[in-house]
Amino acid sequence: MAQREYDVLVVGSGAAGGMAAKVLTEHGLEVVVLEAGPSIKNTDFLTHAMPYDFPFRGRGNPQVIRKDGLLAAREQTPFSGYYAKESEHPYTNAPTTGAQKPYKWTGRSRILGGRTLHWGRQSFRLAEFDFKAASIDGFGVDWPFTYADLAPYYDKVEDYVGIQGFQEGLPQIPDGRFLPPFAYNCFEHLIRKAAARKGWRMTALRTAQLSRYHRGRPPCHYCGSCGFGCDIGAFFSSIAVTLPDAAKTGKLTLLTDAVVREVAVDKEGRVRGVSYVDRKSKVERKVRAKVVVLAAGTLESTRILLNSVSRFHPQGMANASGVLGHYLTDHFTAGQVIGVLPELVGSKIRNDDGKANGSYIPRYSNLGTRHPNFLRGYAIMVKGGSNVFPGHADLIGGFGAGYKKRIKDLHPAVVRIYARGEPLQIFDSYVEIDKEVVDAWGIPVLKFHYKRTDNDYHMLDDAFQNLEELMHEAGAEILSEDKSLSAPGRIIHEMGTTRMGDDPRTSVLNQFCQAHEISNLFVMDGGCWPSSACQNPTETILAIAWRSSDYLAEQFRTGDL
Amino acid sequence: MTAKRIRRRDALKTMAVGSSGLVRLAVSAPVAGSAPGAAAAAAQGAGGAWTPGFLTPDQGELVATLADLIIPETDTPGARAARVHEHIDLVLSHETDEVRKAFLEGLEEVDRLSLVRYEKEFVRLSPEDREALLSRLADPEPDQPEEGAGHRFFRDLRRRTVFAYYTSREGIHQELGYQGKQVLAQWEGCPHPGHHGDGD
Repeated sequence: MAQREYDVLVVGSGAAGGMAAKVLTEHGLEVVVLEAGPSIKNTDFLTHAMPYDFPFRGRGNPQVIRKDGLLAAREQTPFSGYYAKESEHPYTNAPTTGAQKPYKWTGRSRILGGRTLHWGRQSFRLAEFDFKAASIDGFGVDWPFTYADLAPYYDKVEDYVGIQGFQEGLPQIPDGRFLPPFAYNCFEHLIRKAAARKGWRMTALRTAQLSRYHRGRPPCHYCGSCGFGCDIGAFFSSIAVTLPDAAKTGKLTLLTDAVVREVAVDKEGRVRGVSYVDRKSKVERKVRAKVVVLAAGTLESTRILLNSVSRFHPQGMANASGVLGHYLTDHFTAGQVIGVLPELVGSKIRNDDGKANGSYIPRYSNLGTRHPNFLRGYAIMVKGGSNVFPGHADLIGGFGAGYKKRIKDLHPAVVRIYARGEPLQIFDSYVEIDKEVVDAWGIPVLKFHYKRTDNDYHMLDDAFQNLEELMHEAGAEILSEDKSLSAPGRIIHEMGTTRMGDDPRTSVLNQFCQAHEISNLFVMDGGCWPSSACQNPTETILAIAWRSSDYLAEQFRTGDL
Repeated sequence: MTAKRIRRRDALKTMAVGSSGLVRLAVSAPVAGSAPGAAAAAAQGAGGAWTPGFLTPDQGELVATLADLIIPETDTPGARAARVHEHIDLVLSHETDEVRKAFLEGLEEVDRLSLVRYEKEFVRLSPEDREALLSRLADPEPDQPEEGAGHRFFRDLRRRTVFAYYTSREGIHQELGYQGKQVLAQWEGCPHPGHHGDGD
């Protein structure tokens, strides 16, 4: 390997890594991006395939499911690393006690673009109060910056990425620079009216899907297949948006199939690059750079730091505080109710899943008045209508012609609502390196010690009651109820393990995602969040990565790194 | 849906992506790790006589009979015409020994109950008797604990039947009239003013 030294080395090509690459190259820096998986193009996607186009109808061979997990087995995305194979990427859990559940590290990707290829596209700003939640209710810590600091970057992200949605004037989800919204489906109008009768405002999910031509990208054509990748780049992904822009500068070097093992240090303990394993040949290699940006996803960036042990960093890199790996959270689903709207039973089957979207009732708890039983809050997600598969068929009884007719009659009328809550970040919820287990590239894996707080369960009580009441208000017949919290990890919104703060004794990063201890090391993904809010995180991750990259470039220019 | 459809070819031209032919070719390429499944699917696609991969021919006929009772032919094809039993067999041929054993025991239970009540195997029953027996499995009486295994099997078979039927061409297009996976110029949403709230 030539001993070229890049200005900046970025690990990971997902939301944060792609944004860092775009911003840093546009500032004129020579950037190399290392991606653990192979390359892929939009046009590779099998976006318009039907279930019957595949031997196992898309679900995958049971043998492959058992070996590599449900997601990696999906036949619509037969691309290596679109979802990481569980057999190649093991992890472990400490024994759990009581109501605690093991962490389920799902939805991982090893491919160019990372999880932006199949993300949920939901894009919300955090509220002004989310950045100072601790000052309001006394739990945890405030963010080291305010909404006003990030707002210009929310503007930039929205202008750049293209996000459709309604302006609502709600402080929980501040308005922004949105493209025209997608219209509501029938079931959404009906739930929206019911929500209004309960005093809640329902809005369409704001999503990074284009409703018109935007910066050279075509609009959504409503095929409803977003989960299998977008063949025309109508929803935001690194491969459709940020990486092509970075490449246009001529300053980008892309190194795929590069599985990073650790961050390398020089004789003074400063970062000088990374060592990685070539995914295919398994040969160890090094790349040098003046600055390293980790953007491998909250948990993978944390794993790299914990594995980067040297005499300067005996407890892992940037871990003098001892909080690296701690405060792990994942958003949770707090209860789900599935019902049938009588007005729509037997109505014409409609193209409800074409816009691949749903609706959203923003958080209403602990705004002004304080709930007696729990802190923070949750939002309610509203999905439903005629989709490709009638999932309600398993929820009703019978068989025969009557059963077949009822499946069809209910198809346009089914509504599924669930709550999405904010978990509290606590020190005792953490990951460490399991020295006994390595992945397919010989790299030690993470061991999870995930801990819920009682607050989650108190929130569930409230959310579930409100979900039921909303369904009753809508006049729905209940088909199924589930009063439980989703398994930790299932929502794929992991945060907290490289938290930012002003105090180096209690945080890993400063407000610009720069390691307190090592000025030429940055960690720009969701790990920096010092509280988790309940909004989907990607838009905020993009905004923070942009802001931090601007700061990095300025520091680089002035020689302060 | 009242949204204007634009012809897919024109849409693709506008959007400057690969031709639909390429997409289809890619879809039908064998998927790594699923060679037996691909072979079975190819046999189905060719319209040839079906050879079960896991079940015996008699077991395959029993599954087809049961599945067609669960989703019968109406004004649209039923489970047998949608070859639901073939898909169930394909999936079972890749399942664990434990899952397969439970499934075969369930089939045996159906015939055992049939012999006890009617002194005939299930496939030889009259349509009325088939329906009556399946009703007992679908909705067992609380004081009939010996039907517990049969009911569990019914739930499992019904789930497999529903999945296979509603992922088939017949189930998706002919029965449900699925409107998705289109290329639309715009999204028009709900066309019923009666559904809308004030000011929408």
